[in-house]
Amino acid sequence: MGECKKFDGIKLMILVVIIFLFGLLFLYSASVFYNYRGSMDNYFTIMWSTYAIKQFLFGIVGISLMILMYRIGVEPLYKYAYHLILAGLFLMILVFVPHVGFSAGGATRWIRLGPVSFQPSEFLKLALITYLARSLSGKKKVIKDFWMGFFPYMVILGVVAVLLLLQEDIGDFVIISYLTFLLLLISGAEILYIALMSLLGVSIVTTAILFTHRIDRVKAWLNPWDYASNYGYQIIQSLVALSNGGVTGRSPGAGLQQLSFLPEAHTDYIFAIIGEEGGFIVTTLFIVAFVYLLYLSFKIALAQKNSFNMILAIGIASLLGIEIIINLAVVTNIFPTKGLPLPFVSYGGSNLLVSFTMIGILASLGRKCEEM
Amino acid sequence: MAEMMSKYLKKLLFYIYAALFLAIWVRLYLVQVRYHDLYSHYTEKQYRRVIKVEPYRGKILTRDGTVLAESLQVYSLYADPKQYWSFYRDNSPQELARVVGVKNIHKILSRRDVRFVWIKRRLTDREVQEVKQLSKKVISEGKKRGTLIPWFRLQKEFIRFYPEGELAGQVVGITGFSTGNRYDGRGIAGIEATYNEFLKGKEETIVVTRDGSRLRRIMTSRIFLPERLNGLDVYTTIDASLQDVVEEYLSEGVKRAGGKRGMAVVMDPHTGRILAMASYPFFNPNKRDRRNLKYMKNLVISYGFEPGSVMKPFIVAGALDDGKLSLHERFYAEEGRYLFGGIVIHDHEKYGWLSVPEIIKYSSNIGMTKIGDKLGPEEVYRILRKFGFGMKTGIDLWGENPGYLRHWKNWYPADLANISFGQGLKVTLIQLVTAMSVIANGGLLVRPYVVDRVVDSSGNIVYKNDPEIKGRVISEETARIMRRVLHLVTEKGGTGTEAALPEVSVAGKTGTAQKWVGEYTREVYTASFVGFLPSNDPEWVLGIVVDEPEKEIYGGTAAAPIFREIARELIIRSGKLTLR
Repeated sequence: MGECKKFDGIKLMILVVIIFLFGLLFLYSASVFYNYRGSMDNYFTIMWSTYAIKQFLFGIVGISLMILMYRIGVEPLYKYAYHLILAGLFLMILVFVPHVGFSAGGATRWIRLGPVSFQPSEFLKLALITYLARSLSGKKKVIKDFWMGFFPYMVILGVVAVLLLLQEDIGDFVIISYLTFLLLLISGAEILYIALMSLLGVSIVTTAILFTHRIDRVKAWLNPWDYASNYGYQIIQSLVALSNGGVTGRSPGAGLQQLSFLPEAHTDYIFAIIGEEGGFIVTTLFIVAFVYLLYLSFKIALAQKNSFNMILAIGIASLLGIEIIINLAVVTNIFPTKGLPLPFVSYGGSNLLVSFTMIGILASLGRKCEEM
Repeated sequence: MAEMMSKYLKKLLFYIYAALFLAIWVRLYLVQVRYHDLYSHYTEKQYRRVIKVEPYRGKILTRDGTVLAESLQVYSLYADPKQYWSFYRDNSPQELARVVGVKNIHKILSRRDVRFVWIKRRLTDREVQEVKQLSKKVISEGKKRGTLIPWFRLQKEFIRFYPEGELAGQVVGITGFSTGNRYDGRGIAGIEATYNEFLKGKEETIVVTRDGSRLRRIMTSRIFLPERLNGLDVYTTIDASLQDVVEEYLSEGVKRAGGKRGMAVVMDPHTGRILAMASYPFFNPNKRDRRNLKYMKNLVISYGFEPGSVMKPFIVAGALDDGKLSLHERFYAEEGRYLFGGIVIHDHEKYGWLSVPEIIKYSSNIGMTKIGDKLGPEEVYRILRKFGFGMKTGIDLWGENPGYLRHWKNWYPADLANISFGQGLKVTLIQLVTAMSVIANGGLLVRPYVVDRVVDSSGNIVYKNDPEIKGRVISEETARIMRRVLHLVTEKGGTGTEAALPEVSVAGKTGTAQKWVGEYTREVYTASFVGFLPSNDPEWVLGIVVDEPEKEIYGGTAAAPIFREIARELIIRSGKLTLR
């Protein structure tokens, strides 16, 4: 891994904008039906072009936030880290307040502010990273101590876990736990505690999977064709879409999976649609772009001398990395079905805004490279 | 130390991520490139939806274009009880019941898990309109309750309708209850069955792309609806108004004679075209109840009966033609009682010496026995076969009965006697009429037919039934002689005087057969008259049978009057002759 360069932050921002626009192109092309009824009153045309337009507007806001973060730097984050985590927890509780929080797809995860709805767990992830960076960076001396360097974070994690599990958001729970332990490890916390706690967490999650209906999802993951009518359906449709694409894809608009065979095609499974329309060539380009994104992120993170900045950058890079990987692994059926968005590509404002913000933070940290 | 470890850990983290991306990339390669075909069949299946375009079954028409059978599209109404109980549970069933007049709507909806129950079949246009209106209302109500689908829906169905009802009912036949939405399925009787291949049309399927939503929208931009390959129209040789008249006279005549059943055929002897064909009791193909379906059989082609004396002219004609018999030969009629082959043969009157024409005219059984004896069984059998007895005429209708004629080697002497005057064998009326046509047309055996042509929607003739001559049976001269002999039957002193008309000379032969009901009794008869007119240059052959008459038992009194009435109608219609 080379030395951090002056323009790495700028490169990173340009890269995610390109990824975003490329994803938007596919979101829009899903609304085009060559060979099908061309008129705009078509149900699917309207549906997909609505997604594309909304996503474009979210993107503009997101990119603005990214540039804003790039300009103002990370000092305010350090300053308000505790406020942020408290605000995050408050919003998470707000989800359960009638008339403010609301449900979609069987899970209560959103709050509504006028016409805008927002998923607090997306914000919470960034707030938690900020909090951990602030808190851990100040505990260099006592980090090995159980009560000082480990226990408080387990309390926070426990509270967050309860809130997330109440929202039936297992995916984000796993990601947040992973981030917490990872950042503790990076900060030099006692490996024994982390290992034991991780083991406990893994066994609890495993038990939860084995003794609830989620076991069927795991079975469907192992053999989707046996569950083709229920749990395996989405997996099969996803694989069908990808294989439909072949090497060169079906050319924009010629895809068939957007005709609502594939549930959540615009959100969690957008990569399957990309695979169908763009083929292996385009999916490979996306993989390369994502790897380059992580490369730049880690390069910036590794260059950080300031402990807060370093933990913050590693947290953000790891979060983006794990989100992308889990999403792609689910779409390609390497992991069992789990509803997580693909950053910068999936339709959905909350994740897009937070993801752009995080890149803005990384880019602003990248400015420091030249100072070294 | 810890600093270094932390640094390596962070680098390692990136490489772990990179490795996971590599794994995903390999997986993408496998799914998208390497095992691309594995999923393709699944893809095909789920985007394709096959739509059936069902044809209309062709019409059956008389030769002058009166529609005898046609297919109509109607709507039937069915309920989806599960949909009702899942979303509605309101008072819309009462409204629907009021609109279509169904009383047991609650019973229909009582099985809550069922998705299909008929509410009412074959709605009227008005009911369809009202149901459609109610449906709109129910859909808007359903939207509030979270569904776009009403709990009752209309289903298109095809039915077969016979506008003329009983007219030529048995000739037209009926169609079976078919699968799917068709109640005008495969023909199972009459022309419907024989010409099913022409009538049925071709079911076309089109393949379209559909979406994955529950509404199964069709996404294909332009659906090329294939030109509906409707069935072809079949024009019969039947003359609607003549058929109507024939049926009227037949039913009157059968009732007058107190008969159980009756048949009548009018045929063109030169071509075999059937102009009218009736079986009484009549059959209305629109009524599908069991009592009515009993009369579905076309008796003219399927009812085998012992013909009696009506057979005599054929044996005589054959014998004359072969030179085995001379017209002026005389036979002694034994004063009405003759013992032959162990049985006693009676004439209905006592006759002495009779010439061959007299034997026909007075219908002497003893005379015929002696002719039969002179010819021998082999010759009698050969003659009858030549005239087409004991085999199908080949008429273009299903269910023809070949009759029953034993091989001569199995005849006892008494059989020879019986067969000579038309007992001990079974024939159908169509066989008799076809045989009589041989005499009428100058000696040729024709194939009778009821369908003239099959026509497509643009009027092109797809299939045409041309007259078919199966062979020469007797010489023209013999035929001419026989026509004169048969004319005598209707002259004073003959058995068929009731058939005679003042305007035109007719010819024919009566038959009064005893029916075998365990034994030959004097109680049960088959009365018949088969003849033609004008007798010197026949245009029409007519066959009439009154089966089991109780009031008028003789062919001359039960069947001959029907012949006369129809014959009169024919000559009036022909315009050649007018009534005085």
